[in-house]
Amino acid sequence: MDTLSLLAGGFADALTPQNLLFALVGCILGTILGLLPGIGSTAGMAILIPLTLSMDPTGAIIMLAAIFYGGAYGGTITSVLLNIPGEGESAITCLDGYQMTLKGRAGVALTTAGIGSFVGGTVATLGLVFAAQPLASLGLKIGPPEFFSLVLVGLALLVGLVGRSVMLGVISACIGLLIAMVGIDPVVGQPRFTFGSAHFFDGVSYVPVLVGLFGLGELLANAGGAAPQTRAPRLRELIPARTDLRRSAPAVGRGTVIGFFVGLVPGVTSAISSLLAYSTEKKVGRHRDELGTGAIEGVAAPETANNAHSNAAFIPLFTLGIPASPAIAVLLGAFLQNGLTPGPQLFVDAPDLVWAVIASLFVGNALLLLLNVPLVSLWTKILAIPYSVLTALIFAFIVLGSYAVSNSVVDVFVMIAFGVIGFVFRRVGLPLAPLVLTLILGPFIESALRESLQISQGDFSIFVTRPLSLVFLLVAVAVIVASVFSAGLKRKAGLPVDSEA
Amino acid sequence: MTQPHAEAVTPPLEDEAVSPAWSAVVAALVAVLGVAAVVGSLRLGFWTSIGPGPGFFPLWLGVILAGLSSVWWVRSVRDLRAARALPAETGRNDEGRGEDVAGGEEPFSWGTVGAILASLLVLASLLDVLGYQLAMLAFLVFHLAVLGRRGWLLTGVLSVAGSFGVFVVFTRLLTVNLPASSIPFLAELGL
Repeated sequence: MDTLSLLAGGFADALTPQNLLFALVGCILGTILGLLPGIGSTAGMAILIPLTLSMDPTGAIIMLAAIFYGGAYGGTITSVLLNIPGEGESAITCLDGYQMTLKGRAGVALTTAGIGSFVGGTVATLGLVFAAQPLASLGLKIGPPEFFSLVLVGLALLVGLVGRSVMLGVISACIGLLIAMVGIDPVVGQPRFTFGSAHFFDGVSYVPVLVGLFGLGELLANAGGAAPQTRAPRLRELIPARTDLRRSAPAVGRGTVIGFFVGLVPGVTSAISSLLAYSTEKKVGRHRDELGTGAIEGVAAPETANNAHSNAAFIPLFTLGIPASPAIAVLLGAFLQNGLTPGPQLFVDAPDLVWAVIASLFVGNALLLLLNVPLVSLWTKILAIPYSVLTALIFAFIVLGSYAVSNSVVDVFVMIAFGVIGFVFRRVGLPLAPLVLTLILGPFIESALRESLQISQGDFSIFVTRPLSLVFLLVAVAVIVASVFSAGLKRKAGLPVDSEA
Repeated sequence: MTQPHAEAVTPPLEDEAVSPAWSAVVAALVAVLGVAAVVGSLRLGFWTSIGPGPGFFPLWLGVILAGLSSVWWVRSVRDLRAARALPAETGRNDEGRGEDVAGGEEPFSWGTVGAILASLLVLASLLDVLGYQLAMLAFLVFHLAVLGRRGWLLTGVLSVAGSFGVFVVFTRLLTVNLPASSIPFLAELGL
């Protein structure tokens, strides 16, 4: 079957009332999670995984994916109206978005961001449609040594580009891997680091870990804070003038291209795409000297780029089984919980599911445009809920979510412990993203390494004698070396550090 | 709405104010973790007849962790000394942009962190004893009425919905089991 008829089949699945409802619920939840201080879409997805276990896998993945890309829209609202980035990737939008709010043009900023995100997301999903199958067939040729080296590239990029210190990034990644080692050894079947508890034979469940790190950790870091108050823009203020559209169109175009290509690279979070799109505007935009004072391009470019990025990030997930960011890693976890392993084999094993999910990305982007632009005032009402009430309910929610993974109180304690760890990580500047990525990929990384060494009978040269693996390793080394040398420069430029991503 | 005005309180934006003292302590802890991983892995077996054994990967991780965190520890201690050598005012100036904080409300409070953690630990310990419904009811009342200083009506409605309401929805509709009380008298009451 050719790609288009597969896609048509996917649409038929994605548009059933049930799956449409899941996409809608996911979009709404994602927007709310993106809006709320202290809990982003990464933790939100992790909390909801247990609830999706009783759903059918297609619906479950559609809903969780919608939460993922919906979160970016919610984050935009707080960035523009309050100068608070709900998600790491919206940080750059604050610069011009909030200035526009001060000038009474919040509505225009939000509409432009919505339209830009829609364009970026849709174009990137089209890219996914046409790149998916060729890449997946390439992916089937990747053996354990290549997989191991490719994951190293992803980690190198994450550690090198996002964090401020390569050393702290590597420490974080190693801690994640070490946590992933807990449980029954996959090759020999011997329990490792289980502290004598049968609960940990299956490993430390990553749901309570993620909920703790991203949910509780963030709430603890903001403990005692108060909810910010805001005013919603009126409907009439939402409609952009013709000059706004004319000015943002090229920025949207550039943002789409940047977001798409950066999104393809495993390990780079969408915060980088936003930042690159913004700095591109700063170099080539026609109104570049207005940037920072409330220029429409300063909202259009990064918002488009981050959504194009989010959707393009599905390509490495579906074709190679490599998650590009912590949020996608959580989504990978959701696949695993539902008995599916993302990667090239997925197109062979569950083609209906893959195409339904891809089609739902188009549907979800359209839903978000409809939900967000006219309903902005409704979303801002959520921000009017007193902070103490919100946090109380979120605490109840994260306890519930952690418990429900395996009906065990042990997981609630694990969640609390990782909440403290997440809090400490924030206090000392350790990045969380590498830990999350290695925590979920850990078992795959270890299996790939050990299988490679079994193939070569213990000879490490297998990683450099296979050409593809050698190329990946060289890229990884180049990235690390370059980022060690540019660390000082980066600190001066004030690059965003991963907070949520 | 009922919030005492409070203009945009900026959440602490990442590590502007990373404290070297904290870093030194955490670096030391991570180094201990690395050493523990090395010791643990040695017992697991580094190599087997078919290739790398269960202890192979964690051993390397432990070595890397111990090595890097030692470097981190040395750097933090050096930063700490440098900070102490400087006059106090150039040390840590807590969040330069916390200017519009509402009266008496700090953007960050250790008391609240302690209260949150303590209440969560109590909740987790009581889940299997009192059952989800009673434990969560108490937890929500504490957070809303005591920590949040909300009115009793709001507290009542939200706590009952979050405990008894959620229990019914989850166990009946979503087929997710939540813990019931292990005390016979309470269990008989359906708690």
